[in-house]
Amino acid sequence: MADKARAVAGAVIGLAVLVLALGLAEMVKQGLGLAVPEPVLAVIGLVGFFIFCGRVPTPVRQVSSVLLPHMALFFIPALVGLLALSDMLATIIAPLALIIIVSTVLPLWATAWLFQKIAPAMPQSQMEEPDADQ
Amino acid sequence: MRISELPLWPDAEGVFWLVVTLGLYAALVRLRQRLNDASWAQPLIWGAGFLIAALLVFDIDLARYQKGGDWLIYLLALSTVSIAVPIFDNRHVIKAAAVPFLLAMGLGSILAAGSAVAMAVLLDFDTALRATLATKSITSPFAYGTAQEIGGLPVLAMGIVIVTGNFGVLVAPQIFARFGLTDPRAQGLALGVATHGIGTAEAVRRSALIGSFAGLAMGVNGVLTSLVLPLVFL
Repeated sequence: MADKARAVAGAVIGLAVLVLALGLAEMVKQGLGLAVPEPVLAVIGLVGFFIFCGRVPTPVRQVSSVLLPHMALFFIPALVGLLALSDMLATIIAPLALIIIVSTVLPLWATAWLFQKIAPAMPQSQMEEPDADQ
Repeated sequence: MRISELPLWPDAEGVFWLVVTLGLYAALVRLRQRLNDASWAQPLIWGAGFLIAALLVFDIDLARYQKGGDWLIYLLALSTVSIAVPIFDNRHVIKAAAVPFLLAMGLGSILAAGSAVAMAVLLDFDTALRATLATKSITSPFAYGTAQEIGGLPVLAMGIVIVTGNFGVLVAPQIFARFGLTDPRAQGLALGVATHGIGTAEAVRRSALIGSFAGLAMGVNGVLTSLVLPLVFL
């Protein structure tokens, strides 16, 4: 029972840290007149905070382990929002599809190719068992 | 996506759509598990498709759905902020290959945004669409904010990023196999840069090493690109 209460308290504190980071990011952005999205500033600030602490505080880790695997849920209303642009999309759908195909395949290949070409081979200790990938 | 833009607490109708979205997502996640994680069974695509169909069939105004849906978009901003956790966790993995990591990531990022904008210019898309496409290699909530900053269409930017992610996840295994790209770090890096959150989620399912490179590439690329694009476009 006490464990459960502590877990809930931890999640609430973790969530509060994320909201606080986003709020501070907005203040910094307004204050300095930066043209950078707030979540980007918040991530930079949080990574700095973790480095300062030398670790990720447990409540933040708890809440991120709940949020990150379910990001797909939070994307659903964003995708539904495309309905507002349906008339405009209908006129550009074919060229847009072509652009998306080319600009996805090209970086997928080029990024993996260049890294594999120039990166030092992985130490055997870091290698995973072959059946782990794909 | 600003904290001062936090939507009002939804009325009964907003709560209804919030509950429908959550229930639908939970059901689709179960379904995908029963289908052994089939890659076509994405809860995101089917969930959004089902809701769009429902709004159209019952002739419901999008704004009424969004009274509830906007709350989830705010949670999306918070979950993006929590990307800071995997970035911090994987700082040692990247240190061992920092220069190749940054070079390959930079090439992928420039190719993704550059090829999209170049084609948009060739196909005579207007400036708002060009700016929107420039954000396509950034993870969605960053893309939303960056599109806002550089005069693009935030909602379309997120849509394009999501479609890109799903398409990329489908074709990536074939591309890796065909060109002999077997290094799991290289695969993770490419997935993170080209397919963002959706590819990263897929990469985590394949292995922790691929996943950590994907998460890091998505985070670092998202941060760097959204810092650079306003300088290029403004």
